[in-house]
Amino acid sequence: MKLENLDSIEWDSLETTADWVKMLNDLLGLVESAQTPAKRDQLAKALDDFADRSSSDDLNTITKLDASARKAARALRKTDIAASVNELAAASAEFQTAVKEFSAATTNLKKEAAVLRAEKFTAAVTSLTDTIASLKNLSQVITDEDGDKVAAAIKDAAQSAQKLRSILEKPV
Amino acid sequence: MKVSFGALTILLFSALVAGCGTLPDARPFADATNTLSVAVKSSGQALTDSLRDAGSVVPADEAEYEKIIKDFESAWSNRVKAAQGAVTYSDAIVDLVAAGKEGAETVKKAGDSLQALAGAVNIPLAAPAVGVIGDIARFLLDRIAIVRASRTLEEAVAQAQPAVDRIAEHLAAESDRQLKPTLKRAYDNIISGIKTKYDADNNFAMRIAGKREEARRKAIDDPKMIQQLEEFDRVQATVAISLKERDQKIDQATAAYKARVQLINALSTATTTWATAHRDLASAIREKRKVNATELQETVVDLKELIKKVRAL
Repeated sequence: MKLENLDSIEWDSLETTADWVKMLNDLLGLVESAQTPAKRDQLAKALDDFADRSSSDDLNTITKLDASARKAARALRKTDIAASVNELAAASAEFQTAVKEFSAATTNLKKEAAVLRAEKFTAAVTSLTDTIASLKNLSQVITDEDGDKVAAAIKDAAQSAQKLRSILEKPV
Repeated sequence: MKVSFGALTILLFSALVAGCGTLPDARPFADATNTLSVAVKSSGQALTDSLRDAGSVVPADEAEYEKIIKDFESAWSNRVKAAQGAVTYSDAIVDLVAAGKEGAETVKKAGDSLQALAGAVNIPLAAPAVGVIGDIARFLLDRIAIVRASRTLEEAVAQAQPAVDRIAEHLAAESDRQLKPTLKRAYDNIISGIKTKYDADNNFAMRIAGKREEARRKAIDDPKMIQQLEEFDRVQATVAISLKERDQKIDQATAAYKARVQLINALSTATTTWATAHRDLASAIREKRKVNATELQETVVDLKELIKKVRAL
């Protein structure tokens, strides 16, 4: 997905929880492309739209996805870059936790009745790396424009998110 | 027809008085400018107060709101400085008109006052920047030179008009560029924050609505489903109360945001009206008539009403 496609998202075509997971992952993956205030506003709006429109029988997961989307949306609108990146890292971590929990539940479901389209879901989980890469790239972009202090704070945030991801990836 | 010598003398005297009449009292223009400046200052206070209230909607974002308020206050201090600059300029012109003197010294003072106004609006004239602000600076420098080269005060004030118009235009554009996006982002985050608290209820309501519809269809053939349908209605009613509360909060936040934007727009209108009042001042000096600042005074009254409205929300 690209920023140019945000206005043409077909929300009604999303059906399963896995579809919504994939969509939120795609949206969070666009953080690195949103390098101007106008683009960040556009992405923030799409993230709030996600939370407005998402729907699933798995109320626990969908509500966690919504919380993560809204947190990322609000972070993108923040004027303080360091605070914004920290919040994005937190939103990303919340998203990963929700996906991890959903993944565990899905495995059980799959064993029982193969309810969800697993291949689609696996693709979503695999591409989670993009979210972390986004934060790293964002830090590189800002290094050129702002002071070293801000860049250091952003690098810290990216490292924290990376560390958290490593922890989350450990087998339960 | 026979005209008496006395009547002819009166007629001639009247014509002479009209031609060399004294300059008008320009004080109403300066007074209205001063009232506008006070309203600008109060508007900033009203906006930061309401932003601070908005910050309390999402406690986690309170620190961010303090940052937004700081940015807003910084942008507003430029606006207050500009309004005070307009007061200084107006007072200076009024004093020059009242002194009733002409000559190089008077027009130089008018030029100096215009230069000071440009400085107060934060347009660097000493070393014009590139881009739009540089274009404005160069335009103002040319105008100041024309004002200083004027032969009379009447000409100087008239020649200052395009500069005054450009400054007013610049201030309105700055509002659109700086203040409105700040308010819009704050508003969007308030709405997002409000919705976050109710997303669980909203998700539940969305699913239950679908299942209720399904139960309704089945109830036609299966009366046993009626009890389930009643259960759905009960649950739906409970969630509806919560979502109604959310919608009320959203409506309140939207009304407050609209009032704030209205206030910013009214300030831009008032700035443009000030430029129009300056045009009337120039005409009044030329025509030796009374200065009319009624429109500006009325605009300031509207502004004060909006300030009250924003504070009340």
